[in-house]
Amino acid sequence: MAQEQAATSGRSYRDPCGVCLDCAVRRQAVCAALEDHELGALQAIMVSTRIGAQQTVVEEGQPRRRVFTLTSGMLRLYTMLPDGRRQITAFLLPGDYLGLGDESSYDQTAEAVVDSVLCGFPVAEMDRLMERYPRLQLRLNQMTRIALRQARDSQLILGRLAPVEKLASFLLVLSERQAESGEPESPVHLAMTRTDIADYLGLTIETVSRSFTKLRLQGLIQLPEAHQVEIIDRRALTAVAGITPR
Amino acid sequence: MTVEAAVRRYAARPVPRYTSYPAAAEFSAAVGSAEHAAWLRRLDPDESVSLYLHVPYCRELCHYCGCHTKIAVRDHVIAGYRQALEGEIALVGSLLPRRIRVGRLAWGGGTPSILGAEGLAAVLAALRRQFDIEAGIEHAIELDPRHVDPALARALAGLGVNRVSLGVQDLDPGVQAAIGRIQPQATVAAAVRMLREAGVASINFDLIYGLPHQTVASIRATCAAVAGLQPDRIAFFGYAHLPYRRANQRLIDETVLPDAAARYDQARAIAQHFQARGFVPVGIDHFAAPHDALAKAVADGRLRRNFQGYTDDDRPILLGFGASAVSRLPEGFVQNIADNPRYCRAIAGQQLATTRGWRLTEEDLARGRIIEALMCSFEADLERLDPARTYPDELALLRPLAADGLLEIRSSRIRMTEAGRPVVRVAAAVFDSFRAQDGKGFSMAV
Repeated sequence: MAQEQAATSGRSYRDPCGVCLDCAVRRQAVCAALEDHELGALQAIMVSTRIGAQQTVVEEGQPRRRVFTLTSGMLRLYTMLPDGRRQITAFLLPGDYLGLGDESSYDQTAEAVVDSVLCGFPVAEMDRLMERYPRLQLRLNQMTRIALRQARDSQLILGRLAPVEKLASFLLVLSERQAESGEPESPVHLAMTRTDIADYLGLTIETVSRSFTKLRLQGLIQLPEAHQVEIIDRRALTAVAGITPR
Repeated sequence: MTVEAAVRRYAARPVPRYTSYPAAAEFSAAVGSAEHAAWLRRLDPDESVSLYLHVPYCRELCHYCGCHTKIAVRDHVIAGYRQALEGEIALVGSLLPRRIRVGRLAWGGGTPSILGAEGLAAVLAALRRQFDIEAGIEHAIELDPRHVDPALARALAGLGVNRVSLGVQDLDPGVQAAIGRIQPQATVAAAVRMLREAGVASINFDLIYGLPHQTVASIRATCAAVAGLQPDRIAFFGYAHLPYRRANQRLIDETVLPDAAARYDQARAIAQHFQARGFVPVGIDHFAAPHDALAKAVADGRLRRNFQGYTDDDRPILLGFGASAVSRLPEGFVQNIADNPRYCRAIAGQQLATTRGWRLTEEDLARGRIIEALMCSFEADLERLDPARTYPDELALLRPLAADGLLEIRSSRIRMTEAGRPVVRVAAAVFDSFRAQDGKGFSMAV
């Protein structure tokens, strides 16, 4: 379970205004719906939590008591399949909202890929806050539409036949998400491991590694570091992907 | 981006020449003399084979040379090597189920004529003791035009040699000085005359582009001069500058080497020259006169790829003799030790000199068929060449080339466009499952 350091230790992420105003995802997360002077209401129900890599945030089947905004790091959402395979369905990036699609219980497990920081909100209090600030509700609706679009991208990726098509589309989608959050399109930061990518794309680790090599040998990407992918030829990578992610 | 810009970009990519699949660079030490012997014992004696004899010695070493060859300063070294060749022939012969027919014979090097007419005759006699050499077969040899005289020409014709490849490179004196090989046009013309007078029917020229100081102008002049000598075939290769591997190439001034763009222009100048004069384009780097067997093989779709380039030889089995020589057997490839003294010592000890090889899997054979089809006819029908696999990754990786106008993909059929033909090696490399490592060490596609 997540360590609620902020709640128990002396280090506070709840100083009025400061933390939220300086937050890197202030303009991307759900809180973007609120004016600076309204943030206090959100901060009042918020617990900022720092969790280590590989630690669980929420578990599939648990009652949905809290929702979260990821402010830094990366989460993986997954479901264990009956055959024991782990199907990762999404990677959450800073600014993303955890708990968007869940009903009374979490339908997926969320784990930190790397050390991450989350803002947690009790569901009941968040619901009350949305009544007070309908813009929060509108913002969540908008985020739901974005999440649906990302799910569509994900379906396209998983629907591709060839492993290199899947990997190429995956890299392009990540690159676009980086661009959307104001970062350069390349290099693409891959905080997740090859195993994570394999469990997301439905491939073996060997196939993922081989696919990286194939894309590199074709001069489409370079791998300057283990967790970085430089896109050398975006046009050709898009042709290999065989889809046009938006 | 124009198609030509795309071709130029792909042309600079390091890719194997695919004279075999897997490329010899992929052979493994896991295959050695035990496999070599077992595979020879299991040869079908009713199938005729091709033979290749490698003579890795030269009187002097040219700066550009990338072949496996050494300077022979003493005659006893050459005599020793000739004995080793004869020894290897006897050894291989003793492993064969029974006498096998030979349908093709080729000598390469180095400078095979360094053995002298008597040496060549002695090796041929050794071959005849083990093999049935059919009458009138194609019998080819590589010659250095500087070392051809009427006596050698007559001796070769007497031994049945009917095709000669002469290394011409470039006829420009400045280029010749830069590559350490001075052979004026008159030398080449004289060699051709002597060989034709002796009755050697077919003459091939080997040209090289990408050499120091070489220009499109020097190449056009070379092409015009050699075309006047009415060759039967032209082979043209890009100079592969690998000085970290070849000490002799360190003599070449890198600052005067043509860059990738210039190499591309030079290759195209050669192709345009011979095509304009009615020669038939053969694969990526050969031309043949319309009457030549290779031109007919192109017309009939019988062109094949082998270690020497392109051939109309459809025999699946090649027995290679000599240091570094490769044999292609039904079960796999085997390659001899490249170091000449070590090769000779192995043979003297009655051992096969095998050092590496590759046991072919069904998948290797299938991928090899696809790569050979692309290299020879610039098209491949994947479903026909390999009904067992679907190649989704490969088809996806070819899409950028298709988008650039270099090839067309229609379901399982790949066809290089006219513009894309020069970079067919790049498309072939997509089917090479051995290319897990970086391409460093292979020459540029053009």
